[in-house]
Amino acid sequence: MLNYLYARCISAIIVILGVSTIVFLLIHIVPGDPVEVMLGEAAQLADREELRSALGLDQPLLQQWIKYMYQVLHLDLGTSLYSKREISSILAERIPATLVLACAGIIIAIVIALPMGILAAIRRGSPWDFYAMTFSMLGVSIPNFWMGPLLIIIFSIGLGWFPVSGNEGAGSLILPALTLGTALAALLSRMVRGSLLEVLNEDYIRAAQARGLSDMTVILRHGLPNAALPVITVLGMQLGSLLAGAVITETIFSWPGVGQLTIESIQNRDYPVVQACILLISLSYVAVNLLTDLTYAFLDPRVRLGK
Amino acid sequence: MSTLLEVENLKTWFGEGENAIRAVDGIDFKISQGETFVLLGESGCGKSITALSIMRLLPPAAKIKSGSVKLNGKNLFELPEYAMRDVRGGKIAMIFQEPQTSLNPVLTAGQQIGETLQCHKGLKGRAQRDRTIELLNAVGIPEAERRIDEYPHQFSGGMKQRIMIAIALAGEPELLIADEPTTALDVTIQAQILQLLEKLQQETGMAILFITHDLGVTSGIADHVAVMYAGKIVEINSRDAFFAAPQHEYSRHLFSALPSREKRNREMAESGKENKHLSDSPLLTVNDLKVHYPIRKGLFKKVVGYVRAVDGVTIEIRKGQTVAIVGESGSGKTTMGKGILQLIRPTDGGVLFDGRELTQITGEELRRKRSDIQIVFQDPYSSMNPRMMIADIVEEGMLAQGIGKNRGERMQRVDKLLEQVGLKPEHKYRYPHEFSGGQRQRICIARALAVEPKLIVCDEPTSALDVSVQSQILELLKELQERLGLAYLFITHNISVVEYIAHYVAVMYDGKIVEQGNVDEVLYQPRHPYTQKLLSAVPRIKTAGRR
Amino acid sequence: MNNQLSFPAIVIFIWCVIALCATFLPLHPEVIILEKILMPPEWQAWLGYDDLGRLIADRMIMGARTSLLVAFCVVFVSLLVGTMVGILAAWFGGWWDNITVFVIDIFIAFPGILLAIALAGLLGPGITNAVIALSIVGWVGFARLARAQTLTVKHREHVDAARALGTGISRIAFRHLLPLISAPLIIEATFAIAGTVIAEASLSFLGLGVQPPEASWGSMIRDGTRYMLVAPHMVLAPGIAVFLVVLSINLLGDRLRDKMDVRLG
Repeated sequence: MLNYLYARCISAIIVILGVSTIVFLLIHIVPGDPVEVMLGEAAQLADREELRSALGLDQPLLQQWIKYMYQVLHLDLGTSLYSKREISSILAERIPATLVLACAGIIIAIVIALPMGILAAIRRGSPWDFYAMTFSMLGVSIPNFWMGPLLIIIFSIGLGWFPVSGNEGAGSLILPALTLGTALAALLSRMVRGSLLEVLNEDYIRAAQARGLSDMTVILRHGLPNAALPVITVLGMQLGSLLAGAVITETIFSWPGVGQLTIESIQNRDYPVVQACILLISLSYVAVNLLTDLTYAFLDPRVRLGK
Repeated sequence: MSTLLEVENLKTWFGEGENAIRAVDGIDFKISQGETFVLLGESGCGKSITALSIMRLLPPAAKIKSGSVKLNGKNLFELPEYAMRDVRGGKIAMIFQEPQTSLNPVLTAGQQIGETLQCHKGLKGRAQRDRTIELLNAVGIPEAERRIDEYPHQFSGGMKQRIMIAIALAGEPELLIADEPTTALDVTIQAQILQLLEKLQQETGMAILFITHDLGVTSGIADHVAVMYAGKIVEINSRDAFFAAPQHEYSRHLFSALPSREKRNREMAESGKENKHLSDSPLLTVNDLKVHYPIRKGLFKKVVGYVRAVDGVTIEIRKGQTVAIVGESGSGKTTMGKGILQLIRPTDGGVLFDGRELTQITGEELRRKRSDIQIVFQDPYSSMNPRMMIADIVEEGMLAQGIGKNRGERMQRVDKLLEQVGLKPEHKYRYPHEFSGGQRQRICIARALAVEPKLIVCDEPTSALDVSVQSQILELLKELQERLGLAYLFITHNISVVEYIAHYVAVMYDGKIVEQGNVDEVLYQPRHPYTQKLLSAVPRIKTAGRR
Repeated sequence: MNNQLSFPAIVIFIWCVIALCATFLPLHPEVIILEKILMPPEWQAWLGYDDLGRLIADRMIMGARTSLLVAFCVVFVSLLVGTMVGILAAWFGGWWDNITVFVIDIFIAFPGILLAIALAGLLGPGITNAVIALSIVGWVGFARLARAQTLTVKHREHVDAARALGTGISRIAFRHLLPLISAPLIIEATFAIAGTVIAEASLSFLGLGVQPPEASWGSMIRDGTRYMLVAPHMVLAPGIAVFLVVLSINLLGDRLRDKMDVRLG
């Protein structure tokens, strides 16, 4: 277990280094002169040179990289070109909103997907299974950027239950969280069903039945714990699409989170902020994946006790 | 003795109507209390489905069409499901072929035995744990107090099967159904498990329904034998009567298909000639061959040690000779075969073939040289590309070695090769899945012969086949050897196959050859303790007439 | 005919035909009729007009062309590059494999289409840049799948048999590896097309895809969200189009997965 922990953490650190490097390189793929793009063509030569040296773009690439990594390590993400504020303090304002939205989305997804997937697997081929899989198929196919407006048209404009946008009170959270949550629920319920069906085909399930255990015991004690293992891994991986979905969902609902900030900054050509947002979202994703892997390792005795 | 289980006119079908597959098609038998009843048959004859029908644990596609199963006079098919649960594990317990997958990987051995105790005996807490340890001791698991809290992956295959038996014993059943419980195990482990079952039967007085395909195992344990073929029982008899004189034609066929020394000697006597191709000069000399795999650990894949899969093997093969390599799983015999073929590059040592050192050559030269040594694999399913036609499969080697000027010429040769291995030329436009396991092995042999090899490495070529098919393939190999003067390196775990086909045998254990010599010497006067242990574990057919 | 197959097949067929014919049809997607701004569907314009008084029906057809073009370009490039990289890594192993796995791991560490959003944002908006951004993100999945599949197929006995016969590497790759790993790759490609349709629409929705006055379903929804109160038809039509196309491709992918024997015999 310790060996596994150690190896997994080291590999996470390497991935973090790689991710930071790619984020660092992002500014260099801007076609032409990034400084010119940021300031506009009409900018004075002196202003350009000032920004260039402020961003360190006049130094050799390797030196820039070392400086960037050093700053990231010290949580110094630079200043915004647009608002002239410290990027880290801008992010600090935005993070709680995104966190709330993501958590609400995950809770909705789990509450919907777990019972649905389990029921569909146990009653395979029944109407239940059919409805659950139809829901999941529809859910996977409806894009976030359409689900959001649909919900607004129905619940905000049509029924007037929730506000159209913004972050005022619990009511405004429901629609964006539903938008995020249903997409994840659709994926997750398929996963739960598939994984449980596969496990129910295993020899040890038949062996458990052959020793006279009740169906309930067989499913709860022998089926679910084994089916949960792959689901945990996939849940961790799917949180990535949830985070990316948050970018779009926040834009639709004007939810003042990191996602909205990303898009605003792209539109404002505020590249240092874009870099910081991408880095933050990616690193939290790496952290979540590390966490799910460690959970998996803890739950699976084959990994926990080593090979 | 009174009857414990009575099966009458049992029919279990897959599907409905005309197209139904009649897996079990009207069988009757009785098992008395305390006896061992063996259901003997080859794969697909319906013996496992019979067991699952008795337990009422059939897959959804299978339906019991008619018949009854009476346990102590009570018809199990009329019980409601909840009452049937008391029977399963409580009155009839079952163990399966694959101990590796029959235990839940996330529960400890103790938990899995304990839940059965709670279910059928109502034992909880301290009492449950004490009884579990008692059971683990009974099935011969050392240090039961410690190992009770271990997970399945921490036990070996044989130990897992012992745990399965402990789970089965927990409900103190009157009947134990054992579905090929030793087929997945090595022969020495098999002997231990069979011994254990016999001991437990004497202690508890339970009856055993033992399902197997192995005549040797049957002869060792059976009180009564039922032979099953195509969903029907063709013969039921007491053990002695059955082995003295099998009544049904199919039973006799099973006996005649068994390879043995007697048969080889008889055939030699009939043909009246010793191997005419056998020469004195060695064709292949393997000198101190080593294949070591590095064990890498940590971030930078640092080498922390080596798995010595093959660790210094020296052996010689002459033209027209069959050398058998015998060993249990993990002994390194397959790796050695691949090392000789240069499919895995040996770590050290020499492979001298026909005066050429194979470990020294590379690239185009090695590619040319490859035509001399060919290989036939164990698994007839993965040894052919499912997307290629038989013609293309057999032609592949000719293309690689530049045999035949054009497609037409090569196709003629494909026809000839197919005939040589007992198939028809028109088979060449079919795909592998259209053939049976035995036919596939014939195609693989044809593919190997296409490049005119001098030596064929046969890696367990008959292990996945039924006994009756096995004997046909062995005969084909012998016939080809006689006609073409081939040498074989025959890798197997099956001693009777060695007796039948090999001239010379090497016993492999833990990457090393512990003993080698002529077949009669090694198999009848074994010197090394491992050889002795291996040979004594092989189940032999004991009949009243012989020995 | 298989009745179940027909619904997704029809939708995909219509999508492809409309997209391919778009250039030859007498369309007026960019003609502005000021007095018709935000008008709901009527006899001559069965999907109504948008916020500039343009025909939504005509813009939908141009949007179909955009989504098809982007989806096929991206999936084609990703499939080709990814498969090649994956097979080579698995076959040769060693350092080459380690480096490939390292690169794959880093690309996969970026959640969803976030990297594509960043790339498209920095490269500047436009359809070419959208294709580039999505391809840079897209090849990774194929590379990972191709590598994993090749690793399992590589150890099948017929591959060893072919090597023992002296067959060359290119022939082994084309006769023994590719045919056996193609089924999962084709299925993955099908789902990737659905994913790319959504991704393209997402980028356009965020204003990072095609630029006005060109039409994309995503940018049409984006325009529509500003007028949801007065003209919900602007959001509904392109949304239903994306949804139907994606649903159909997903259904087709599911069918393919059931049909093709993904697990090798």
